[in-house]
Amino acid sequence: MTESDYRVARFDGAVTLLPFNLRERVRELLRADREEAEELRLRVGRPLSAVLPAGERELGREKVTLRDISHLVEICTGASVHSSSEEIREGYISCRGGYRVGLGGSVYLCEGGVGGFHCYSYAAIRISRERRGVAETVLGRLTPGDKFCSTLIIAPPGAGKTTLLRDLVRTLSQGTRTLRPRRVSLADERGEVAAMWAGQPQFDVGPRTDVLEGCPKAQAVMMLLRSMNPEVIALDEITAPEDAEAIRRAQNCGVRLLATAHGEGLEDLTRRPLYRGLFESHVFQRCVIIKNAQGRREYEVASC
Amino acid sequence: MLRALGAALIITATGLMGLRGVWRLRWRCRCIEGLIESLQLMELEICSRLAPMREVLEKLSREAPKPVRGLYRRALEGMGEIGRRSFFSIWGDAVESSRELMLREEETELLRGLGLALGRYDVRDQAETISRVRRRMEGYLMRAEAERERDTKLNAFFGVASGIFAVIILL
Repeated sequence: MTESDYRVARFDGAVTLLPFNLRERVRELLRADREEAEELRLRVGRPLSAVLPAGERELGREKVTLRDISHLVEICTGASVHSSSEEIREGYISCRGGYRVGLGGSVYLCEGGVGGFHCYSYAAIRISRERRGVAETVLGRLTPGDKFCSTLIIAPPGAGKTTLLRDLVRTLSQGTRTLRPRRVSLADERGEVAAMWAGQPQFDVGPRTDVLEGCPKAQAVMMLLRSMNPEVIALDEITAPEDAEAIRRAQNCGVRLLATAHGEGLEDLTRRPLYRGLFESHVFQRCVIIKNAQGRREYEVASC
Repeated sequence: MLRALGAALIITATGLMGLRGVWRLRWRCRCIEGLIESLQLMELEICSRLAPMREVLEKLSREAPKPVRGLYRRALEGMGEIGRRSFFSIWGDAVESSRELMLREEETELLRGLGLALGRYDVRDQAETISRVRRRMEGYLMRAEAERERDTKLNAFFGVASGIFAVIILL
């Protein structure tokens, strides 16, 4: 399958999450647009639209109804809202195929937090795509002499941290001609890296990767450390002091780490106490900074 | 000789009809018992394991008491149509077409109504609904058992008696 076919297939996979009456409207999109589409958006009272690099385009004139979005939720959860209730409270649903649907509308509160949705009025189907091979550009500098250096991937939101993390996990787990395969444990709290569905990762995270999904990162790191005997622990987005503490403990156990952080660069992170502490204790030896230069992603590797 | 043979045949036939009535009463009780048991299993799967409906239906179509497996198998087959039809409609059709359960109208309605809650609400609400349906089914089971007690002998008696009566008239 060519890259172009793969991209179109991912789009078509996202369309199958739509209720039948909405699927027809997507047919008016050209192949080139299907290849590039990033999201499908449903808003009650507005036509279905596709988010393309050039902007959002409405598909047809028929308006999306509340019933359509409820139907979408039924499809995405497999008529099992109870199985996805934790995610729904967070405002999204992970679906088969590794797709993610963001939800909006009216929520009700329960015991001080969001209890669920009164009604769903907005939905965004995010069309995630694997980019196999992106790790190759940086792998050599992260693994001098077949030793993997603990690495932090730094980039602003939407710049491709998770994509690079996923491909690094896959490559480390699979190994290359010059790199031996490793046991990788992935703490995937929000389910974005492996996208588990029915107990199986929907994205390729490598043959020697064990995934713990949905568990708070700090707890997940400790659980994986105790139970899976990992050589590398990977996690998406260090955001809380507990995460940093768990990472330090893992490092003390001799495990290598691979993580991501929101930021513009190394200087930006060292200004924040959470990350400064991690750098001072030399938890990470390398960082990869992702930059968008004229629509192209550039990866810069630096020593920490 | 021929007359005697004919009389015996008539009595046997009406007797078998009576026995069929007895068997139907017993089967109906077994079906309701099976439904109650399977609803308990369903509640456990949904509430303790948060299992998705497809998995719950798969399990029940394999492990529920035999008389009710067809219901869950039909609902499972319908799951492929999610997107075209709602789960409520799929479940409703599965209940409607499970005629082998020999449910009465109110029992069918009760079971059909369960589809409004299944998979749509959180665990607590679903558990309450399933429990409520189960309790009402237990009431229907008691009624069905009372009917069986009462009508078993009656069916057998009327089967044979109507045969004898027919023979007397014909002779």
